[in-house]
Amino acid sequence: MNWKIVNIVVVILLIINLFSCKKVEVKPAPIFANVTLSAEYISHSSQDLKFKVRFLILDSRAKDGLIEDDISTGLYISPYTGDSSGAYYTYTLNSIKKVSTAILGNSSTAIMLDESEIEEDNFNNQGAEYVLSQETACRIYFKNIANGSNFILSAYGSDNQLLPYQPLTIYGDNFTNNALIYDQTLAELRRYSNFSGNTPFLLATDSLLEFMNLKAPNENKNLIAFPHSEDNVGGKDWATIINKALDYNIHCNIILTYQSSPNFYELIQLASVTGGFIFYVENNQNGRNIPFFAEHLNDILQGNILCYETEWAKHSDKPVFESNYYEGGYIELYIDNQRLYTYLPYYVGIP
Amino acid sequence: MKKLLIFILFALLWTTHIYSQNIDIGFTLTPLSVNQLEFDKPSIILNDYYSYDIGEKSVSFGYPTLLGLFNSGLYARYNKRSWFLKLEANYQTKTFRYTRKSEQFKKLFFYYSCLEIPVLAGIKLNPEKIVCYKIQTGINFEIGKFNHNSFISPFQFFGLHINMNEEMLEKISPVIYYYHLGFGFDYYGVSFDLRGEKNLSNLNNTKNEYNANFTNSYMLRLGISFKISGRHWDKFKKNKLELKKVEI
Repeated sequence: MNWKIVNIVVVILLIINLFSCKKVEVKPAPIFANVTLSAEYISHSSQDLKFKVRFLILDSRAKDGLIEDDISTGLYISPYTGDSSGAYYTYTLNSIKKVSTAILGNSSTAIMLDESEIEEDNFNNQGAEYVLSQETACRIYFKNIANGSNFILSAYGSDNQLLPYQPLTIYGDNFTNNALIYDQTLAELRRYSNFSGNTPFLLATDSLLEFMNLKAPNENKNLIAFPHSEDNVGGKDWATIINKALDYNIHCNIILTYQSSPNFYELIQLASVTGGFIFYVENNQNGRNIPFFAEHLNDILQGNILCYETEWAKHSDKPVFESNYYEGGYIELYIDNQRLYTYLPYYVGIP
Repeated sequence: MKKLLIFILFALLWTTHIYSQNIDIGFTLTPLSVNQLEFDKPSIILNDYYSYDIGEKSVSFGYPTLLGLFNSGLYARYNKRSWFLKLEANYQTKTFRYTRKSEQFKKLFFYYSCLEIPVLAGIKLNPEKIVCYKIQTGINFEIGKFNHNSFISPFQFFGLHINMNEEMLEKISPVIYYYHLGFGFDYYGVSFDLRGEKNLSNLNNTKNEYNANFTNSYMLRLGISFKISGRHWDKFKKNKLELKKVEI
């Protein structure tokens, strides 16, 4: 045997092996957006309360946006005890199905950005990333606006040169559908978002409701707030704001930064009672799901979108359910093959 | 295309052979360049809807990079005793830096790749000397576009697209004229130039009312040219030998 030829062949094979590369398909990480659309009371007895919650779980891999995985086995609401009645509460999921939401028509939407203090160490040290996502999401929504819908941009905060008016600065006199006019304003708001300052959320919301009542051209009026700090100015109470929104027929939609937000309960109450959605931006997605969510925002606001409808039964071991009983909580679930644990906040009450 | 390039190469060599007394040909290299692109608004918004901070509040100097090694081309130079005309055809990549307020994207680089044809006229300040100093001026025609990725940019002319930002970045005019001024020196077959450039023509393909428009583009570069025609290296050796003889 000619060992020299064998050696050469082996060396050639080794070189080929060294430089050959396996094609590895790297799929982008899926992005999820959990949106609670509504929570409604169905019926009650002294120890049982039935209610239904409609929600979306948007999945970047899904064709029509709605998650395609079977989520029915993963949904739960944790039992708890410890309120003043001393009762022990348990929850049962009675049904889950896909339904379409009602058609609401073209929307007049007012965006209200929170320009009060935001620190880099918020949001798992991704504060700036969150603010960037918020800015980009607004731009995506504006640029995908449906024919007949319109919008206006506003922001609240203090000690910020971009906010000349207190408690709220509204950028423009009227609603518009020209997406380009806010390109630079949004970038400026993002650039100056690290200012410290007060958070006049209630006063700002009150101002914007008044403005919308006067100027919003469409019947379907939506206020979208991005609160990330607790209101520390006051001047109005939550009940006044909720009643005003109901009187003016304005849906207050909340993009909630994280579950531990100090005004968590009040915010989900505001959204739920006025018919708005609650989009819970989880910490573990660092806000990068807000631009993805914004791609679907037009459809959500205009209605006729496919969503999940779940019916729940809450059982108490003591007779506690009666008129004016309210509760805020969250549906918990694992998605993406149990890899992502997430929440769907809801607020429901007995009339 | 390949046949055309080969034809041009042979034509250049033939012309040089015929007129070799007056015409040099060679290749060029731009190992270092610093670029700046100015805008009329503080932020530019790209097709992915993200904004980048530019303009007065953030420095957008480009950096000299190893990409300079790709920046090369050919030249032909017509020489007279005290002046010269030079035509170059180069591939050039310019680097611009942008910023975005985020921990993950503090710096972001854009790359502008082009084919450029500088037409230069120069004066030799001391034509009798071996180290011949010169000043030069001229116009540069650039055909190019932005790209988002440094390593892939040389291949964009072959139709390889990498992401949607390219579409937005195509808002720059595909053909831009620059004027330039420079000085340098020749030493046998090697020329060293330091050139400053600024755009003469409008940089924008379209005018944006709300998004940022390009206003000015500047470039400072070190250019090196290597002469491959003629017998200058023989002259170089001969001169060296003569110098040694004189020393003996």
